[in-house]
Amino acid sequence: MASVTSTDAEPAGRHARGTPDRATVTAFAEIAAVMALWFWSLSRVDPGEMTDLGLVSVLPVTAFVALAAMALSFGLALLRVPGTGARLLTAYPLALTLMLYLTPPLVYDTARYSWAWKHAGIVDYIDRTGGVDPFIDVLTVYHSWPGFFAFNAMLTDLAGLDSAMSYAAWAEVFFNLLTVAAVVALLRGLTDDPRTVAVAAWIFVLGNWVGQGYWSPQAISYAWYLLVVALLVHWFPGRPAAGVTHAVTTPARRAGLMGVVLLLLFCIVSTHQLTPVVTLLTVTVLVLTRRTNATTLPLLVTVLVGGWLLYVAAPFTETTLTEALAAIGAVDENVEGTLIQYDAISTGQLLVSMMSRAQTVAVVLLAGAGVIARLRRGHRGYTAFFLAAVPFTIVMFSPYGHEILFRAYLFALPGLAFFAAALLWPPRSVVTPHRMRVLLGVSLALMVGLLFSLFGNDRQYHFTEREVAAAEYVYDVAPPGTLLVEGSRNYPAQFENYDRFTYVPIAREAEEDRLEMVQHPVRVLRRWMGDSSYAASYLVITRSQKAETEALGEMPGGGLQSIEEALLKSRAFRAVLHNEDASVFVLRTQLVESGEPTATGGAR
Amino acid sequence: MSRPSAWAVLAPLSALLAVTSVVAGFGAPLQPLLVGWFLLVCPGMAFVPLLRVGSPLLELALGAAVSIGLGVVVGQVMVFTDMWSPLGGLLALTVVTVGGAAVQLVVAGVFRPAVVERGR
Repeated sequence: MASVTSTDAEPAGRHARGTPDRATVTAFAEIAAVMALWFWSLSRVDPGEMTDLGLVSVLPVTAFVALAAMALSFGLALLRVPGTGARLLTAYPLALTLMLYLTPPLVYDTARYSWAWKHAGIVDYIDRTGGVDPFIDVLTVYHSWPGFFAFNAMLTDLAGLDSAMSYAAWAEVFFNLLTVAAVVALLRGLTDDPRTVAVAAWIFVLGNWVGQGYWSPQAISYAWYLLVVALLVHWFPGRPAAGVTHAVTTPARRAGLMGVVLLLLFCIVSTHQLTPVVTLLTVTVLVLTRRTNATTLPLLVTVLVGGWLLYVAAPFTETTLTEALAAIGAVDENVEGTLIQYDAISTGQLLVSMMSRAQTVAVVLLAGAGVIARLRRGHRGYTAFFLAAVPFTIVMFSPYGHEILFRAYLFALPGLAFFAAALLWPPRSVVTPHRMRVLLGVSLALMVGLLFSLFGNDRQYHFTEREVAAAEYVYDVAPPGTLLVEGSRNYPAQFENYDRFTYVPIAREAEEDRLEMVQHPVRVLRRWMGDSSYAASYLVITRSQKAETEALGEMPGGGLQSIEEALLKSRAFRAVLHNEDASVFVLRTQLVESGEPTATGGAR
Repeated sequence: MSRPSAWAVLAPLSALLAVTSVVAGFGAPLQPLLVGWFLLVCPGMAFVPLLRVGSPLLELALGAAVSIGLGVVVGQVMVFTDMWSPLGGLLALTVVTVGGAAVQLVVAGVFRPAVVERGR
């Protein structure tokens, strides 16, 4: 094997006459073959057979072979592809992203994650009413940061689609590709070495198990954040960094680039709640440490964030201010809330959770070792260090719905991946088979972890068409002012007419109430659903609700299954829709009063 | 003087096709494809090639990010001013796209101001 340095100057993967060299052609052929094997493997997956280990429990052996082959091909390409042609090596993290994130839309009937369905509800609200209501009771926060939803309402309407859910499942591919492209751009501002960039982007994909790239405001905000930082580091550098050639451009183009930065900053501030905070912290540190010369940006972002919180989002800010202030500095509580309690969850979910934690620890340890290795080699890559460290400071400010630690990890991941790559494939290092073997071992370990941590909750996170049919039934027929009792929040819910309902998820009730519910479901639900202050009352129990409550140990005794069975036998309730994966119940007395047909019990 | 990017033609052409598909009501699958392609990629790509960022991957990523960003701004303006009109929003983004493409063509020297030659 020829030993070359990572930065040998040769044309970008091409011979002098412009034809791609043999190593590059081989690499792309291997990528195509591996992807074909992966997607063929997916055609043999039956999600209905999934256990509480998630997708990994139903993947055929060939899928694991495909992933291992991709890692091997990447390692070999790092050795074979010559000189600066190695820029094309970023095709590997992009191809891996395609494989991973095309999987859910190809395997499942509908978009996964209940939150994606809730997001569609805001899009539906804007499309129906032409505006937002910052004082609304349910999903209030989205009405104060409506940018993502307004854009999607426009897109849905213009495309002639009934619902944003028509394309939501595919958005996960789009956002993750955009994110990896942004990460590559950012990494190129940290090192000139294309092999280190490719390895870092590869580690980023393998380490990104947090699953925030689905159809959501945070997905696009994250990509915007990465692009802003990439532009600042590369085109608005402060101190010149060793090993990086900063881009030289004209004043007009610099003005254009700054225009892009300002647009993206405004969009970040007006679209998401957490990303502006991380952006402000990161930009401020980059300016204070003279990593960028865009010195007025911290002030500008502060004004934008403050203006949005105090003016546009004032109704939301007023109601949550006390709670938000109490969380500042409460690091222990903020972090503790992030971590799942192991005493109640199922064995499979315990393994999935431990894999996620191990994945996080592995990436952080690799990065830590990379920092030490770079310091010992005399490198002072402070920009990357700040990008890896600053996001973790947000745990001081908020629990962020019990997710803060993992969100901080996600924002830190590009910096962490850079240092991990600096350990495994240091910039300007000699290309050797030994490095490739070490990288291959690390990649295979992270791949196993990623399969569990990214897809390990998919038994409850994916939904069948039968579940969607049940939810559609309720959302179509229920009048405004309806009480909707749900087994849990985890099912395709709130995607249309969501403002017509008062929601009561059983799994969120106090422990003694859940216990009473399981012991006497008919009696308790007759009391709840007989409340005449509501125009109508429905109860929805679905497969994904049962899967989630079982996995997390949220329901005592026989759980939602026993409640469903009791109601099916009860003369007080009627299943107006019942199929293999879902049941919708009403009180028989309610049917008589409303004069609605009572015999819709078959599957739709 | 430099060659204009292919986007200087492709972006406004995509805008025209998207508007036509909406007004004529092409329906699925053509209308979602044309509208999605335009809104997600084209307004940004009418401008981003002017920045000469050097990497096709970054150029495309920036183009998509800016396109969605412009769509978000237009959408929010309509929501907060009680002037919700998806077609109006599409037309606004079309104007922006045509403007960006025109700047590309001017910078590339395709459009030049008329020069009256004076007698020597």
